[in-house]
Order: sequence, then structure tokens, then C-alpha cells
Amino acid sequence: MKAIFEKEWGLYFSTPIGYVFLGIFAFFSGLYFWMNNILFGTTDFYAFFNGFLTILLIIVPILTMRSFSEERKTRSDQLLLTAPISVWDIILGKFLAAFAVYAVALAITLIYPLILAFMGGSIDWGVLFGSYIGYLMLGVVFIAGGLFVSNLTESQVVAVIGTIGLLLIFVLVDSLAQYITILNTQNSVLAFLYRIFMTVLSWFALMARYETFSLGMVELPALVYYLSFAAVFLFLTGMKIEQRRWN
Amino acid sequence: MIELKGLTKRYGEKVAVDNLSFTIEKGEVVGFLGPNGAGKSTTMNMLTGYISATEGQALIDGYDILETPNEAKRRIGYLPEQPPLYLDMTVDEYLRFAFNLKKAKVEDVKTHIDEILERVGIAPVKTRLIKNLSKGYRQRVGLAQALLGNPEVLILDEPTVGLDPAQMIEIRNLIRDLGKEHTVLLSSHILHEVSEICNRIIMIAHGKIVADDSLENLSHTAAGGRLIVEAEGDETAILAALFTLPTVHGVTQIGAQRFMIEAPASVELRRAIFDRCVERGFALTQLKQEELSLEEVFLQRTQEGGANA
Repeated sequence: MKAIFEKEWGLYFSTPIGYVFLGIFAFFSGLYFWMNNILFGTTDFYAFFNGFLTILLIIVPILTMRSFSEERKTRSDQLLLTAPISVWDIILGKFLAAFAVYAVALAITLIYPLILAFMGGSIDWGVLFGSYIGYLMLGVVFIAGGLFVSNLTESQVVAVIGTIGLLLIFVLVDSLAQYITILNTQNSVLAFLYRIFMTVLSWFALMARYETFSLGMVELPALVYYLSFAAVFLFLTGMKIEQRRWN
Repeated sequence: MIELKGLTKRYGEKVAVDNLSFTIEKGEVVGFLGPNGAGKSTTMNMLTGYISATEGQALIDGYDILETPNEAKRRIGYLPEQPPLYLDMTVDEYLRFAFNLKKAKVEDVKTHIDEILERVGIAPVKTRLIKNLSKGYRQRVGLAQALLGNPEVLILDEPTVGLDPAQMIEIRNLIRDLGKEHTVLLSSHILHEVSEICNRIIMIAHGKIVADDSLENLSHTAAGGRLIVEAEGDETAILAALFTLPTVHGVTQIGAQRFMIEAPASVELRRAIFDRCVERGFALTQLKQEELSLEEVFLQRTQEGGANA
């Protein structure tokens, strides 16, 4: 796993992908910081994080698009799969490398609250801490989803678009659910199905759980939720690789 | 060292590799031959654990590739048909990564990698990006990768494909050299190459073994009972004289004063031919057992295999 992690980390910075990701991340976070905090003169980062989410949806797929699709296209996956390591070593190595780049990008944004604090602003570090944990958790899920999609195709372009689509669904599920709530029916079967549907939908409601983080509350169930959500995607990725070997 | 027991790979209805069994002993250098699409690469991919067999078993040094994959894979150096390279890495970085993957134990990693770089002749390009290398160099980087950690078994899928003639000779010499300390299974469709490097040949067609023998035996038995006779004298008289010999199936004239005799037991026939020529007053100038070239054996066997399938 260590070898894979080092290789992936190295490739992020021997190809433009790592720099592109960090660059876009820094540029847009700076822009949102300017728009939400400097122009409005506030030390509250709630709007900053909510706004930047849109950018996150677009750039995390850049981080994961190459991961498996390129290996399959160039057949370098033969090196990995015939080496004495398990599929999970490969997946975890890739996941952790992408996450590390993401964490570095996120760490850069710490500069904004520090600037405000330095200039004498009073910052609610508790809320900020919660938001960062929330962003780390969203990153875990987005990256796992991205790896999963990247493993489905040999084309990086398809991987990036597919991942954006998947992440959009994650984020929109909550608001979609709101539109389906108006359902007045006497039919008990329909009502029952509706309840099941809503429950299933709520499992995927990533953003509802993020809300609690952004208010500065770090709750264990929410952490477990995000981590297991990501684990499911990594597991499916592994299953898909195994299935290809057997077919 | 390498043992295949009824190895089978099916893709839906299509059978790519059909009940393949053979054993390769330690130290053997075996050529794996077959026309395109015969199942060579599929077999090698199963042997190395890249894909799973539908049925059957592949053992490396007694370790099942599916049940104890890490033990088995540790013993294999594999060069797939398309070298599994990372184009954005330098040769050095790539080999270091591949070495780390193999978890092999050597005294000093740097010296080990440098030795291999020297050996396959890519030391001068070790700091270059793989994407800037020519096909021949890339192939050698792939070969270097297979040699990392000194695995006991080398599985090389068409190692000389895409090389120029000079490079081919170099790589062949290298493989012959490697054969002294490793067990090698090498696929190729350059028959001449296989006949130069390997001491045993396994031919497959349509996923089945059609021949498994040493090169000499193969060309000998394939030739069956063919004798070439050159004698001076009246050609029709000679034809008649040869044809009336016992057990002869047929005689064809293949040139001026040259005849080919087909008979099941041609070796025993030689004395009779000699006696007959002396008796009829022909001067026998040549009498030899015909040997088929590997190309002919190949065509003959693979076509037979095709007919049976």
C-alpha cells in the first residue's frame, strides 16, 4: 500500500493534475473568501464553505479521473495485479494519495481565517474546526465515489464527467426530497412505499449531515456515516476489479 | 516449477484456453508457440494471476496462484505483451516503484537496480522519462521490471516484439543468459527465435496443446517417414525400383535425380534402398532423413489442431 501511495502521490506532481487541482482550489477559495468575507467584512465562514462546495464538485473528479482509467488504458494495471499485493492495497493506496492532495489543498485555505485573525477579527474557531472536519468528510466520500467511477471506464473524460454527475446526485438528493414531500394520500400502500423511498433517499443525504459540521458540531454518527459511505464505494471498486478478473 | 493442471478460460461461450496441462521443471527454457489468438497471452495472464482461470489450477513452485497469490507472485517476473509502464515516470523511478511492489529482499536496492539497468542495457537512459523512450527501450524497461528481485520464474510474452534486428539479437542473448539461472516461459511467434533460445517447445492452437517436445524431436517426428534419395541412372527406372520396395507409400521426384520416399518406418528402409540401388546398378549419391523446419512443424501442427477443433 505504501508503494502505491508513494507512486500515486509522485504522479500527481510529475503530471499537471496535482498542480491544476491545487491551483484551481486555491484560486476559487481565494475568490470566495474575497466575496464572502472581505467584501462583507465578516469572520463567519459559513457562506464561504457553502459556496465553495460547487467548486469542490467540479475539481475533486479531476483528482480521481486518472486513477484507474489510465492504468487500464495503458495496461499498467497488469503490473499492479500481478504483484504480490492485494486489490485493497491498490485501492487504499490510491485513495489515500488523492486524499492527501485534497488535504493539502484544504490546509492552504487555513490561511484565510489566519489572515482575519491576524488583522484583529474574532474568529469562532470551534465552528471553523467543525467546517473543516465536514469538508474532510465530504472529501473522503467524493474521492471514494470518484475512484469508483474511474474504475468503470478507460477514458479519463468519461470518468470526470461521470463523477461530476454522481457527486451532483449526492448533493441534490436532499433538495430533491423536499419536492416529493407533498403527498397526501389515503392509500396506505402508497404511503408505505413513499416512506420507504424517503428513508432510502435519506441514506444518501450527504449534505444534511454536513450541516451539523458546519455549525461546529462534530458528531460521531456523522463521522461513521461518511466513512462507511466511502468504504462502500471503495468496496464496490474492489469487487469490480475482481469481477473483471473472473470474467 | 510451473505446473498447469487442466487450466481453462472461457469467455461466455468462447473457450480461449481449453484444459491446458503441462509441467515446466526448474531451469528449463520453454518456448510457447501458437498462432495469434491461440490463447498464449491468456494462459500467461492466468499463470501470473492477472486474470483467473475458469477451471483448473496453476502452480508456481507448488503455490497455487489463486489460493496463495502472494507466495506465487513473489516468484514470478512477468513481462506482459504490452509492457506495463508509467509514461510519466523516469526509468529509475519506475523500477524503484516496481521493486517496492514486489517486496523482494536484496542486499542493496540501488546496486540491484543498477545491475539490472546494466544488464538490459538501459543504464544510459535511467534518468529519462519513459514517455520519451523509443519502443525498443520501453520493451527493455519492461524486461528490467520483470527481473527485479531475481524471481525464479520468468514469464515473457513476446519479449522481442517491436525491436529492430540488432536489439532482437541482444535481447535473445540476454534471455539465453537468463535461462542459466531462471526458469523461463517465453511466448513468441518468431519461430527462429524460439529455436535459438529454447530447449523445449510447447505449441498451442485454439487453446489446446498440439505439441510439447524438444526442438529436435519435434522436427524429426513431424517429418515422419520421409527420405531424400539422390541417385544417378535412368529416372523412371529409379522411380520404379524405389516404389517396389516393401512398406513404401509413395515416391515423388523432387528434382533432377532427386526423389522423396514416404514410408512409415523410413529409418529401417535405408539399408533396403541402398541394396536395391546397388542391385540395379544406380549410383546412390545421397540418402538422408528429411527434417522439417520449425515453420513447417508449426504449420502442420497448428492446422491439425484447427481441424480437430
